[in-house]
Amino acid sequence: MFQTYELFLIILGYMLLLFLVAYYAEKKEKEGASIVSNPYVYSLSLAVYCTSWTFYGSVGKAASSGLDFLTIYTGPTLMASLWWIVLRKIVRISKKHRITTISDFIGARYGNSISLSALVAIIAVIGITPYLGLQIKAIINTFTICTGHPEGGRFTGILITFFLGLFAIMFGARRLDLSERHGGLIFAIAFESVIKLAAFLLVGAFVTYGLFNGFDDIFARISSSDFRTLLTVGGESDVSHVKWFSLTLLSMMAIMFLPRQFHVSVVENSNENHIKKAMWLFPLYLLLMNVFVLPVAFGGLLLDISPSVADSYVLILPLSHDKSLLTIIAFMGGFSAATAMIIVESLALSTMVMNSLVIPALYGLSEARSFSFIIINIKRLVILASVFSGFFFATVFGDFYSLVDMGLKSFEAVSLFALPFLAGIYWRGGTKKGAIAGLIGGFTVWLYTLIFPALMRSGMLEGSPNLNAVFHSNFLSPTALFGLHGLDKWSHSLFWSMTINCLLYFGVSLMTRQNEEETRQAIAFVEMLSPERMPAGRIQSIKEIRNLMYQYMGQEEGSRAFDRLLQSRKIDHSNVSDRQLLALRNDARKVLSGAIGSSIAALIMKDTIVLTREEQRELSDSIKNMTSSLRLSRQELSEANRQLAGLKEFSERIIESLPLGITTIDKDGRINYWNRYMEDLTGIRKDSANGADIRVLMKDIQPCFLGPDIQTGEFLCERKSSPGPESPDDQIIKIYVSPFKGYEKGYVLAFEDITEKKRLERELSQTSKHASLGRLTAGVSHEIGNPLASISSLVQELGSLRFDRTDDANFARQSYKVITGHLERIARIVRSLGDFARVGSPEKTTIDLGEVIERTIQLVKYDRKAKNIRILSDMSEGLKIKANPDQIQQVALNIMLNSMDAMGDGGELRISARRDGGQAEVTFSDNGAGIDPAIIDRIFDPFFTTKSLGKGTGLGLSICYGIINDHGGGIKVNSKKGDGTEFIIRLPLVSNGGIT
Amino acid sequence: MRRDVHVFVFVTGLLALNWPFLKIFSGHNLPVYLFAAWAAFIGIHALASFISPDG
Repeated sequence: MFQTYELFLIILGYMLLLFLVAYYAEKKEKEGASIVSNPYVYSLSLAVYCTSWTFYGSVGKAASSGLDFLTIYTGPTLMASLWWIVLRKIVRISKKHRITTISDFIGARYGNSISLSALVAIIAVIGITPYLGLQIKAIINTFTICTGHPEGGRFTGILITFFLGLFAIMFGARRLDLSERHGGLIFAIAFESVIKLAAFLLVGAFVTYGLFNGFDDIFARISSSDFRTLLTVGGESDVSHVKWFSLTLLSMMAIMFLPRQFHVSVVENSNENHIKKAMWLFPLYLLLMNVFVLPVAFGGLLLDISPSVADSYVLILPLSHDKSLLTIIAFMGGFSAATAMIIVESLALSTMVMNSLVIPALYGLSEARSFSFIIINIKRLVILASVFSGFFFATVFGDFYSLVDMGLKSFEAVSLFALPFLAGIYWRGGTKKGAIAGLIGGFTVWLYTLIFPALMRSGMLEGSPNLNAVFHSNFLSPTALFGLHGLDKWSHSLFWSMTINCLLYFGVSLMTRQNEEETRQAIAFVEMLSPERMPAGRIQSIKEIRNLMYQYMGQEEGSRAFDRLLQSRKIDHSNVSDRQLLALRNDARKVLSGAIGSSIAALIMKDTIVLTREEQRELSDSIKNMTSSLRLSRQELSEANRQLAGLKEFSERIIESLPLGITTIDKDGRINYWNRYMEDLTGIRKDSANGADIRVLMKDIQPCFLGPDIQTGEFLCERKSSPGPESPDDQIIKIYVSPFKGYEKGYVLAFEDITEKKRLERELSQTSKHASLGRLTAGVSHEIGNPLASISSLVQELGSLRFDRTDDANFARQSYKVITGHLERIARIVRSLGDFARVGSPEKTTIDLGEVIERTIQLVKYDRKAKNIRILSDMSEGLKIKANPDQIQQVALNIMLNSMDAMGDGGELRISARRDGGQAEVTFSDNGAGIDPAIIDRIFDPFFTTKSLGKGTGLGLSICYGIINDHGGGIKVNSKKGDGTEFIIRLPLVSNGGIT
Repeated sequence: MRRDVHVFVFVTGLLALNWPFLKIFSGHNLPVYLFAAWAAFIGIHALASFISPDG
């Protein structure tokens, strides 16, 4: 036994040590070398879960009912496996919203509701009071056991309670900062966790190996004793499987929703990665803490220590074996477990009461100068009040219940928070009204099924016959509500409280609507671990639709579009029905679709869109930029289209206005373009031409310029107006066929009607011919005049003759011959002139080039200049060409006359014609004045002449050039000033099969 | 660590530490089974924490 003062000194010494530990941790934290922020301290601080209930109560429970005490630890172990999903989310939400208590959390989730927060705080305070009482009771009991003076227990209890309250104030209420983490406190709690674990392991080892021969010995003995049912679950055991499951479930919720657990796991979490290690370190701690529970409990029973004091076996066993040090260690282990819980729980409860009840009530005084002083002192009072309420519960009800019973009542109470809490972070539909209804309903059931029986048992509710009648009725019995028998009281209470809680929470939530604040908070909480959602998913107001339109269309454009929608729907801002809202939303989606595309618009309006706020902003900016760019692009495109259309029209007009037939065909000869001139030229309309085969359409054009394989080049064709001889209406068409560049196997055909041009050329040629004839007139008249003079003279002589005279008769005969010769010569001259002068047919025939040249030489000799010029000709025989003889003669005549002009007073003109391969080459070479090199390139130009005015038209050589070209030949000139000129004409010869 | 892994470990533990496994191992060896299953669960979870990527 120990003296009271000794124990007090030990307690004070321990608390001083604890304070120094906390102070050291805080000091290191301020120095930037935190010894608190690590997963090991975090895990050990979570072990505040292991209170005096664990230290003493588990042994008591194991001794009385067997294995079910384990559920209080296997439940948290199971729950810990989900911490990375659940706890991490809670931590993140709490950090973001600066939440420091469960009441804050639930209130914030449901639209920052103060009333809901206050309700949670009240339930927590009432629900946790038995738990605090449990700790006080344990300390008082163990203190009494250690001192052996039960008579001073009450005073001692008050004193210890006061000290504990004071210690809690020193740790948690030295200054006013409700959101601050308490590094020193957490380190002290972790330190206490080590102390209590070590103490329990020492006691457990002592009992197992000191008093017995190890686990096997203890278990073997208990198996053969009357307590063997303690080793089983179900069947003969007091622990049913239902109870096992219910207690597991309760403890799973307790580890999450006990205010102190929320405080250490959420508020004091400095790094969410610490959760990862705590997920198995904390269960490991629980496992170690429970390793010796059964040996200690069974050891006490086997040593015949009364099961009624089984809660104190941990202390009694070493004490009864005079192990003073071990007893003190055990006492301090239990004390550390209790103080850790009391300090953290009272701190958590006081913060909750302050945040949810006191500060909202005193909000009107917030402007007062001494407000902070008032608040901090109220908080200190609340801590003391919560600790002393535990003391009150322990002294009033403590004698009637075990430590575990008291603790489980608190577990049942905090389990009410599970639904609004967990549903609140995973289901957006929960409403404040649903949460309030569920909590009130569940709390009422908790009071009725667990607390009222406790009050009855303590005698506080005795004496009321009506109440007794209700409590003992079959239907409303607190332990068999609505006639539900067969469940243990924990399962019974849990079943009904959770059932009522669920029904009211979901039922009311589904029947009521969230306000905007609730919706916003619901989204923020539910989507915390997901990328944040945009509010567009649940558009609840006209304002949100407008904001979306502003966001994605820009303020000005969005505003105009939004106003148009309102006007078209005749919607009044102040009174919008759901139907109107839905219609407006659909309209807005359509408008947004037009601006940003239907996919993006649907995405924006869709409920499941998942975008972080950063992504939302970026998307918004991108869409605005895209919209702006698209708008600009549309304008540019429109302008480009307009220009393109103008250009196309311009090009088409050019093509349509050309005095040229243009058509395009594909590789198969199918027409795909046909301009207006083609219509005029052929009389075939565009509609009829498009798609037709050009070979069929142009079959009246001869010769056929399109064979099976389309050839490119120039073709001179004739299109006869009617079959038979030549008609003035016949057309001469020049056709150009060229590849259509840029198109596969296509061709462009240009048709030029040169009928009129050919007619003019013929007229010009005729005129030129007449001019040449005119030049020959003098020579011809001279050539004709001489024979005529001779004939005239002879005729006169013949008139005076006497034909009976022989001499005269002979003269007459001679004269006749002379006259006949002159007349033949005249006739030949006239015929040659007539042949030259007549308008010949344009048709080409096969002619002997040498003969035509010779005939022309004879003709040119009539020119008066020919008298002084020696003309030498050398014609090869058989130079057959296909040509118009009149035109070829005209060419030769023009060149010879020009040569005679160039030779002036006399000279020599050499004319030769010979074969050169497949061509006939005719050369006219004179030794005249020659041509100035400066003008030699222009001599074939029309109207170019070096002769004086009236002596030349300038058309002669131009016509020659045209004629030779028209015959598929060529003409060139070589000349040197003063040395004469040489014209060389080449024309294709006709072979047996045609032109070579 | 992936959510699926956590949920799998949780469900496995819930089954292992409740009926019907408790009934299967009911008897004097039940405490041994419970502590062994508990320890194994912690071990599996620690292992999963190390090898499973974040998620």
